[in-house]
Amino acid sequence: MNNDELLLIKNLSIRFGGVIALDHINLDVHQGEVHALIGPNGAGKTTLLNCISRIYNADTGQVCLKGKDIMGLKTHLVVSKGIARTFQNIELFKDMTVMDNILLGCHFKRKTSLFSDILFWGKSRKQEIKFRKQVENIIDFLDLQAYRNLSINNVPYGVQKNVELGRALVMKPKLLLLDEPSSGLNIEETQDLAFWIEDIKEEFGITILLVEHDMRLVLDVCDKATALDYGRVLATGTPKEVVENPEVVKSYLGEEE
Amino acid sequence: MRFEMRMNYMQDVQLFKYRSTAVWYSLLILLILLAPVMLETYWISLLNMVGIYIIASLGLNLLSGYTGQVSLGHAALFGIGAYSSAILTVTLKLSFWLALPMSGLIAAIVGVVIGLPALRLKGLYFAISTMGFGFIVEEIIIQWESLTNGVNGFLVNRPSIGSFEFSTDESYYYIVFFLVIIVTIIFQNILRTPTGRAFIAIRDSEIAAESMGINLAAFKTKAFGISAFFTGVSGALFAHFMLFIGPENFDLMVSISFLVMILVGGMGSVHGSVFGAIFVAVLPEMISLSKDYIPDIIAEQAGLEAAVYGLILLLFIRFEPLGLYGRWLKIKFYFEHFPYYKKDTFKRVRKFYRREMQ
Repeated sequence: MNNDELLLIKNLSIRFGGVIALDHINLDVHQGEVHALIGPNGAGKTTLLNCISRIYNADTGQVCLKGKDIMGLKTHLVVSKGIARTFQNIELFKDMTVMDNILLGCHFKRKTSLFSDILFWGKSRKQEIKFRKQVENIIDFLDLQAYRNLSINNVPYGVQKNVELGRALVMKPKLLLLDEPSSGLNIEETQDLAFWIEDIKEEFGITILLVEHDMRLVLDVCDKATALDYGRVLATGTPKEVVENPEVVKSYLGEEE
Repeated sequence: MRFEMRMNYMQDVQLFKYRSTAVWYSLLILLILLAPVMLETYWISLLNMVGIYIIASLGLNLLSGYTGQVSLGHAALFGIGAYSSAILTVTLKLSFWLALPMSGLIAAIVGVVIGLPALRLKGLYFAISTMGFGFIVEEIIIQWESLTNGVNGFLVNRPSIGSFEFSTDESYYYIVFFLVIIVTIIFQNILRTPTGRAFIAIRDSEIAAESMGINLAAFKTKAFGISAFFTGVSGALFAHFMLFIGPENFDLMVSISFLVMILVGGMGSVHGSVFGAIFVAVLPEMISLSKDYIPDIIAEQAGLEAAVYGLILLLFIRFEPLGLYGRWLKIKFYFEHFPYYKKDTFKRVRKFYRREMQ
């Protein structure tokens, strides 16, 4: 095992009744790389992300983060290991403001107990202000200033996607799982996203594993790619290699009659 | 239209957004303090009940409005607080000032014990399990005669400091409202810190909350415990106010009246709890006043109060789901933006791309 391997997935399988969603998946993601997961709908990409972030319990296999197996971890402890994620169909807190949503990303770092929260004295106040400073940095990075105090219900879809990204970023993760970050975004917003992904990689040093359908974005931003179909890995390598692999082309476009 | 200029982070977090709001609330507190001097005893007794209901509805709102776990059994916690305080002061001869926090604590412990299994259930099933809890506690109060005097009820005394006894409603009023102010401040503090945000997160999206590192079981139980503490304290205040409590004070109708408080007032807001408490405290008076004007057939019906509750719930859920506080916000908004009235600002936009997950 190399020293810069951040995520190592060995033989991961999960089935839902008769449907084999993931079939002995092997995947490795190196430190500081942007790794794309591509494949037709239903291939198991989101299921793989769910297994990594422990929303699903995989049946067999191992998921090793920096050499440590996280298969038995409870869902709410995943964040403390440095994994943050966004969701395909936005899972934001709809009745809270943008600011509050991103503030929740700081939640797991809180050091105050309920008692000092109730009294809201020195330590709690300092912590609130510290959290708000961190959130303001992210709002600055993602250009969300105009939407800061609006309720999520009133905010356009593209901005909601960015708020999800912001909420994941404020956790300062080691590994960022993005589930279809560019779905529903127009060309300009997708270009902004591409710049942000590059900035995240360079400025914050975060490793990114993203599920994507937009091939231009994949070829533009990603260092490595893995193609999935029917729960199995078809090909892995640089994006150009994977996209030109005949098996991958067949899974997307079908076979010549 | 007022614009907010933020100069430092504390401004985001402090209790009052504008200085004028602080002035209005200080005036309100002044009025509250002077009320016994200006009003007759009838109104002061009513205000006492309002204060007790405010604390109870804040408790229920924390669990149901903010954390999203609707409970139909809060009258049981109310009753546990009432009977604990009664037994501690009368049978065990403890001072009221000790018994009050202790009854809150006892209610909180019972709440946590019940919450641990019950919170594994979601939505409707949780509501049913709390309803069952309510029935069980009512039955225990009736059957455990050696402790609670069963159906004969329990006589309680007013509290006293040294030689001064709070025997008049006016003097008791000050205890009640002192506690209302403290409880409201505690509540606001919980809500502007990570704990409170975690509660709201659990209501809005459990999966996302878990991905933020929020231990669902622990936080739901915390919410239940805090809610039970407030409700227990209000129960203790109720017992010492009424001077006599019996199992009929803590049945299902009382649980439903608590729910009406937060639904009509506004779920998920402090103002909502207050408006709702005022509404439910004043409602029986309005019903008896209006009995003179309605034909006998309706006025003499046995279930009139329940029917009125049901009708009001239906009307509010259909026409004003944000409750009285929502209506207040809409009126304020209208005046703030006059004459540019944006009629559909508060209209709930239905977005169909999000699939609903159970």
